[in-house]
Formats: sequence, C-alpha cells, structure tokens
Amino acid sequence: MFPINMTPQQAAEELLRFNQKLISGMDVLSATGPISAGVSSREAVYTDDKVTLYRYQPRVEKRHRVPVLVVYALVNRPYMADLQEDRSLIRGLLDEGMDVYLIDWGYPDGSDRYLTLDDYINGYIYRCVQHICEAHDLYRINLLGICQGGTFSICFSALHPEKVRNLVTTVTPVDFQTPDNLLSRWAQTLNVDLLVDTLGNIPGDLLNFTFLSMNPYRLTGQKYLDMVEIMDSPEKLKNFLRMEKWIFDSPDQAGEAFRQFIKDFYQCNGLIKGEVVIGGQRVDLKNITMPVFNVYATLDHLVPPAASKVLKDLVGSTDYSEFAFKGGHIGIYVSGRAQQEVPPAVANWLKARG
Amino acid sequence: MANDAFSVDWMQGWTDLQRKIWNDWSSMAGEHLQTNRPFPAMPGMEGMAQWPMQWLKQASDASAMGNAAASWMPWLQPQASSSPMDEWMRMFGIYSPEAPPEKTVMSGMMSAASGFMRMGKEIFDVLQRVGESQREGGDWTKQLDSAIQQAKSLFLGQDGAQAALHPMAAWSQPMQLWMNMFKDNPLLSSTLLQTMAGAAKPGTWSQESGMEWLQKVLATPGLGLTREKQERMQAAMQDALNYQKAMQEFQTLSNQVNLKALDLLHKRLLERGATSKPIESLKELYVVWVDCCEETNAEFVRSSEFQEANSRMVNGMIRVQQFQQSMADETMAALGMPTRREMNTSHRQVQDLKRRVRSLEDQLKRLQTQDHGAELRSIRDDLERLDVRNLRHELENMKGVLEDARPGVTTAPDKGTAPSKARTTSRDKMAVTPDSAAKKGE
Repeated sequence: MFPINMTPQQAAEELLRFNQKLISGMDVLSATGPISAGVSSREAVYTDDKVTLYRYQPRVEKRHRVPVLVVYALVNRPYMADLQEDRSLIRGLLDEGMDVYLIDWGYPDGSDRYLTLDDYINGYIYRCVQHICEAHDLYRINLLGICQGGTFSICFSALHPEKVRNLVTTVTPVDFQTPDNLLSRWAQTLNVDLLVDTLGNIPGDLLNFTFLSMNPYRLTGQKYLDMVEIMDSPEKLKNFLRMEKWIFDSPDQAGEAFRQFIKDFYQCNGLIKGEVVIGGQRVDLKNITMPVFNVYATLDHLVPPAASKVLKDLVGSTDYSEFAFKGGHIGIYVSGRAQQEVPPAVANWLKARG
Repeated sequence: MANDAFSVDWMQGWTDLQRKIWNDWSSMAGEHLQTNRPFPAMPGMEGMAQWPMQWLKQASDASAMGNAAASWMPWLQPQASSSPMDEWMRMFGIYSPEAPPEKTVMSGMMSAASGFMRMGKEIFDVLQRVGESQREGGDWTKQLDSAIQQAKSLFLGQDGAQAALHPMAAWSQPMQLWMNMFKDNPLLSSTLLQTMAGAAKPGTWSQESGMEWLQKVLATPGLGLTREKQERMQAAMQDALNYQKAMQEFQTLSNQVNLKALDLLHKRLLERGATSKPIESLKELYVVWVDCCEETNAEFVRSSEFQEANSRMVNGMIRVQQFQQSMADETMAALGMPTRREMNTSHRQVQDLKRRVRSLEDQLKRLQTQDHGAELRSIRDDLERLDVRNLRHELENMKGVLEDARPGVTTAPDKGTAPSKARTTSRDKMAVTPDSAAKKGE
C-alpha cells in the first residue's frame, strides 16, 4: 500500500491548521515580552576582573555547614543551572539546605584574549575559594563543577587539594578521546594556533555553530516546527524561548585558554595521561584524595558517559561514587525528572560527608 | 478528488493573495523586530479557511518562498556576506552576525514553517498523482520514485548530477566573487583583474585552462620596490582560491549527503508501504525525513572525509581572514590609527602586569598575616640552644685566665676564694643548668 495514508484534502487541512496555529501564535510570540532567566535570589559577594562570585539566598533555616561553590563552563552562561523556578539545580540544592555560591565568568572581550587556564584555575577559582573560606572561617569548601567547569574543578582539586573538602563533577569530560566523542573527533584536525592567532578570542557563535552541526536538521528545523505546536500556550512558549536564549547566549572564549584547552585536553588527552601543566605545575589526578561524586548523563552526546566515568580509576581518593542520570547533557539540569533526582543525590552525598 | 472543486482562476487569485500575505508577514516580522511593535492583524487571513488549495498553490511558488531545495534542506541557504567567517556561517543559514537574538527564533521558525509548507505542497502533488494513478490502475511505487527523483533534482542544479558531483565543480565558483576580494587593493594592477575578468567571460575561458593560467600568475616572482608586498598578495590570492575550492568541495559533499538522505527516505517509505503502519500526517512524514537526514549526516560527520573537508574549509577561511586583518592593519597604520597588532601587544602587556601585581599582592598579604610570635619564639629557642649566657661566662673566664697568665701582671685575688677555682665552679654550674631544667621538664 502507499506509505502515506492521506488524501490531498487531509494534507491541505493539516497545512491549514498549521498555518492557523502559526498566525495565532505570532500574537502570543509578540506579546511574550523580554525573556528572563536565573530565578533564585542572589548577591554578588566578590568581583575579580569580569568574574563575579554570587552567593544565593538560603531557602531553609538550617543550612549545611560547608558551602558549595558551583564552577560553570566558559561556554554559554551559568543561568542554565537556575533557568526557571521549576527547573533549577541551584534551587534544588538550596532547598536541600546547601549554602550555594556560583562563579559567573562574564563576557570576555578583546582585553581578555591572553587569559590562560592558569589565570582561570589558579587565579579566579582560587581567589573565589579563598574568599568563601575566609567568609566562613573554613580551610576547605565543597566544589561542584559543570561540564568544562567540572574539568576545571578537577584540575583545581589536584593542584590545591587542601582547599577542597568534597568534589562533585557533573557531565565532566576527563577522557577527551573516547571513540563516541564527536566533538573530540572534530577537534583533532583543528588548527587551533591559526584560529587563535587570527581571531584572538573565539566567537561564541562559532561554538554554537559547532554544536548545531551535530544535529543540524533537528536543531535548526524540526525544533522550530515543534515550537509552532506550543505557540498557543504562553507559558510553554516562554519556557522554549528561555532555553533558546540560553543556547544562543554564548560568550566569546578567551583565546589563550581556548588554545590550551583544545591542545592539552582534546588533542593530547593530557588530563588522563597526567601531562597537563597549569601555572608550571603538573595536574596529577592522584592528588585528588578528597571524596569524589561523579554525576554523568547516560544519553550525553557532548560528554559521553565513558568520557566521565574514567575518573574513577584515575583519582587518588578512596571515597569515589557515581550517579547516572538517564538523560542528556542539558536535560540533566533542566528536565523535570532531573529536579527530582540530581539535587537530592548531590546534597545527600555531601551531607553524609560533613 | 478534492482539487476538482477548484477552478484555475480561483487558484491564481489565491496564489496572489497568499504571496501578498507572506510578503506582508515577513516585512512585518522584520519591522517588528526593529521597532518592537506588536504584530497587527494579518491582512486577508479571515478568509483563509475557505481556500486551502490556493494556499497550497502559493506555497509551491519558489520565487516567493525562496530556493526550492530549501524545502528539503531548510538549513542550506547561502547568502551574500562581508567576511569569510560570516559567509561561512551564513552558508548554513543558522547565523547572521547582524541579527539580534530574537530574530534567530523568528527566522528559525519562519524558515522551518515555510519549509514544512513547501514539503506539504510537494506531498500534496504526489498524493494527487498517486490518486489519479490508482484510479487508472497504476503502480504507486513509480509515483514515489518520481517524487524522490524530483526532490533530488533540486540538489543537483540545472545541469543535473554532473554539475554538483563533477570533480571540477569545486572550481566552478564565479570568478567575480573571488576578484571582489581583491579589487580594491592598489597592489593589484587593474590590467590583471581586467585580464582575468576577460578570461572569465563565457566562451573565452574554461575552468581548467583558467585555473592553470591563474596558478602561473600567482607563482610568478615579484619584482622591484614592492616585491615583498606583491609576494604577500600572491600568497593571499592563493589562500582565497584555496578557500573557495574548499568551501565548494564541502558544499558538494553536503549535497551528496542530502541525496543519500533522500535514498534513505525512499527506502523507509517503501518499508512503511510493506507494513500496515502507513504515515498518517505531514508532520509524521516530516519527522521521518528529518530522521533520515540526521542518520545520514551522523555517518557523514564521523567520516574522515568530512573532517578533512571541514578542516580545509575552516583553515582556508581563517587564512583569508588573517590576510584581511593584515590589510586592515596596514590601512589603520597609514591613517595613524591603532592597529590590531598594537592592541594585542598592549593587551598582552596589561595581562602580564596584572599577573605580576597579583603575585606581589599575594606576597604582601602573606607577609602581613605571618605569625610573628611564632617567629620570635623560634629565634628565642635558637638563642637558648646557643646558651649565650654560658658563652659570656666562658669568655670572661678565658679573659681571666689570659690575664693571670700574662707575665708581669698582678691581679688582686678575690676575697676568700682562689680565682681559678671559683671560675671553674661557676662555668660548670652554668653548663649543667639547662640540662637539669630540661630533665625537670620531662
């Protein structure tokens, strides 16, 4: 039988319905207003160049004694961890009694092109940790790294183990050359010296283009067609647009840090080989002797599970735990199910370790 | 069939109306994005429900809606550009450096929606032909084959498969585009460009001979005062040619992926035809089509062929951009303006200075917060170990002994005690005291 069970009339009617939805949806779209993201109350407690350290307003009376510092990636903006009220890792942690801090890297410009990984890890992160330690009269705090921020947190913990009480990594690449890592495959032939020497900072749009290229038809076509289906619901439309804002709100990458990250991590896979050198010091994962909680997503196409799970065999810690979330790289923070699973898992693990 | 109810004139009227609607819609969308004004009611939309067939006819109008191939590949929409990077990113129709973020959503939606409608029109035509064919006892698979071939032809261009897949297709970019990159450069003689333009005229120039001639020109050593600049310019022109070739190669490969995706769609549809699970809606068909594209693309982007083509294209683009920057620097320097190179030097120096300042601040902080009490205790301990008091006594004793032993010097003895003995007793006592104290402490 013919594989399309439709009459021309039915096809026409479907297109008509689609068109009508589109038309009525345009009114909703135009009335949507500005899209905001980042919902939890917070206060800037420390600034350092373009970097801002935020402390979130506690949501429960009895708080955990040791604060947790969230270290986000340089790619995209950290409000993904606090996107909206019902989709917020930050809010989930606050509700669990955590005292949450977050590093916002800001938007690097031309004057930041010579920032290195040393500046980010031994500079900004170190000073933020130091600030929190002094504010709480502590020697060590908890670190929670997200994606590339997780890799930075690992490096920091290896270089300054005395400052980290517990380390939590989420969707964090450690082995950068697993066979299923498409980004890595592309990075291998990238002439990053030519790129950075010419462009200076790497445009955020260039990275976006790379991410979209992984699923171009779905991400540049089908997604928007699906959007038409929800345009009659202002709330759903706002949620869609909020995510859309986050996806395309992409800061440029400081050139030298990008060069080093691509070369040492992607092209040389230096982290697992113990060959990464930051600020003149070798990053030895065996120095990570504090408890480690490694959270990964089973359907992650950017950081495949194998790229994260290898951490277990590399750290010096005897207290290593994993948490597998059944979802993708972004879903682990913004899906409805993630809110029920991820923050409680992280908080309970931290509480059990003081 | 439903289309029997429509007359040709009526369809034509609706075609015009829908074209107007889309044009108004697009311009309003653009206007809205610039002014943030709300959308007014759509003109002519009230009557829309009555004439779906004309609307479909309009949707098929490629001139109003854009490239026909875009209905099958909505993300491939090349546009004019100002820089190699912009051009490269626009090639994929997902980036526009000038566009505000809101426009990304709007343009993405409009592009996807119009693509879906055009696909709907294609399918509508297929359904009509199948219906007619079945009424006449024909074979529907032939209609499907025909539809897939028709879709393929959209990617192959007017000259068919040879145009897109021919090895020399990479050289078929218009010479004008290439020459535009260099036309304003004073180092290139107008004669050279005119010669090239003349050579590029149809009938006077073939791709192969033209390229051969151009390669010879670019390989000719420069002479005279501007020799170095000529050489740089020749290298830049070669880079530009390489980039254009790489980009065209990449597009050719992408087209092959699209053709493969259509083959996969054909296969999937035949499979669905053999089962009792036919496709029930256009949206479902669209999703099947996207799945086929993604599946084919996933295989492509993991291939070494893609990686090599992608690297050539990206590296080519960056080299051209590098040259443009050096030209811009020369111009800025000539105008007495700061150049990019100077700015980079300043940024680097500022960054180095910031590091040094922070390092000094850290050292200062360490010194300020150091535990001086502990340091003093440590020094005192050292001094005690040295037993300074004992040393002083020892020194006095030795002085006394020396004085006693000096010939011709008489010293009044201490009252009631032999001097030498008293000194010895005192020294021994002092020497023992710390040890005794230490033992006491135990």
